[in-house]
Amino acid sequence: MGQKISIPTSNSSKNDAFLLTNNSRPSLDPHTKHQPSIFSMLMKPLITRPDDPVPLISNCISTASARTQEFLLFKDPEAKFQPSPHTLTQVETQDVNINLTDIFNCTAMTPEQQILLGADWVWAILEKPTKNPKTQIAVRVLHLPERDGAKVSPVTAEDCSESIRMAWMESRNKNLCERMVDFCTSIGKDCYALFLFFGRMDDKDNIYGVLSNNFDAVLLQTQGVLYTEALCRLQTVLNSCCCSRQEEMLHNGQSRVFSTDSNSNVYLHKLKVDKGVHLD
Amino acid sequence: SRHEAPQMAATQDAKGKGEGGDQNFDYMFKLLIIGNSSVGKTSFLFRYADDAFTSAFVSTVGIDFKVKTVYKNDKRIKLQIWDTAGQERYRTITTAYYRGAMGFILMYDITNEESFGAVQDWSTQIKTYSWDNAQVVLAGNKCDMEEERVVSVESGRLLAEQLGFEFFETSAKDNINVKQTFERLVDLICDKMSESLDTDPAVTTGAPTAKLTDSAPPLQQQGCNC
Repeated sequence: MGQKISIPTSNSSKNDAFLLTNNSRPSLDPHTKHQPSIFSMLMKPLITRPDDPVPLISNCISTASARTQEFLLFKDPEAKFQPSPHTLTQVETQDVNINLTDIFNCTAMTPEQQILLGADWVWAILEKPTKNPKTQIAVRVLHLPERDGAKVSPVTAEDCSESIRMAWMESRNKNLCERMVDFCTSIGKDCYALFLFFGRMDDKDNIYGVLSNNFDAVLLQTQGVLYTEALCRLQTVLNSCCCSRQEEMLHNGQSRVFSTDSNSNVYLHKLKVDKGVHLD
Repeated sequence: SRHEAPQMAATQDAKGKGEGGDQNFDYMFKLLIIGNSSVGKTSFLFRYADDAFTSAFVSTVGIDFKVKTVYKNDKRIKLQIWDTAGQERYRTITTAYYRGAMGFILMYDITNEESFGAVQDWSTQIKTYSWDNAQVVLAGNKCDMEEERVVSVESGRLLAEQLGFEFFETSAKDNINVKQTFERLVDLICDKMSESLDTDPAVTTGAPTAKLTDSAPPLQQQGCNC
């Protein structure tokens, strides 16, 4: 099941590589003034090869991350409005939208699937003409504890329907992160798991991520450490990694970590997962 | 190799004791909908559980489920209905859920010969990964698309007979035989449960107050009306 995200566009042209939900929204916070506007990013020239959607997707992810970052930075002067983790996740999901449905799609998981499979959404690069997925990225968003209310659950209490409770019962022996790794592993090496960190303790306004098609090897090496804990500790090694362009992310089978910098560009940081992620 | 009978079959004492979800039921049946990609499994489930239909196609990722409660002879039967992805890449994760399933709806698309040709393979998957007494209904979906039909009703019925399955032609779009398919599958499971109780009363820990097959199920309309 799941839901395919589709945002209609009224004035799309061949050069409109991605769609945004609201192009006219003003900057939400004074701190964001130093960042380039969303319009300047839209006008970035896209360097694409005919059969290579990767630069296009990279640009979309970059733009979506910038949009999400606006909300991460947002502070209501009257402290009445605070975007929920769920809302932030939706912003990221819906902003990564490419008007090329024959080569790329994004499927948002139902609340039950979020629990069973551990993913919030799944990106897929499709092969022609079958439209079967060629490469997939299952994405799970991890929020800072204070934003998350220290809850790992992707659903709120009011959403806790009978089927949600059943889904938890089905999956009780593993946490959400482990389930997403299991899901990706069950598909194979062409399915990547991407954990997105919306903020870090010492850098609450940025987005970090770790991507791999080999997390099951990491799982083995963490040996009993709770996976969510392992992922949190993973953040401490992010800064020491080397950088590379995001386009490499989808071309490369290695595990990588990326972050958005103050200019909302997305960078990747290589991890030494092949030798095990040293978390201590 | 076949697996042991699912314990869920014997949840007659589930009131107040069952695990997970609403515990106020007499029986809980785990059902799976399987078949090739794009035959209409998800639409079929949406029609049954939510009485809704959309023509927009969204390929199911992995697995999902819905819950629906039905009543039979004053017994509340909770159906946990699993919707499986038809694509081969998800086969590992979907077959993991076969275990413990008490019933299957094996679906093909009457406008897609390949999906019909795959029924035998899906049947083998059931035999491989589920338990011996799992009940199966073969459903030829999209029977509203008569002009594009490539699989005749007779072909479907014949194959069902050969495989030992019940058979319906269905349409999630026009709501044809959707409810009937599920009801028949529930009846078959209840029949099998009653057989088990007759031959081995020790199967259950709490004796049921009434057999679910006290009254015969109504005759079902098989084949498509359209």
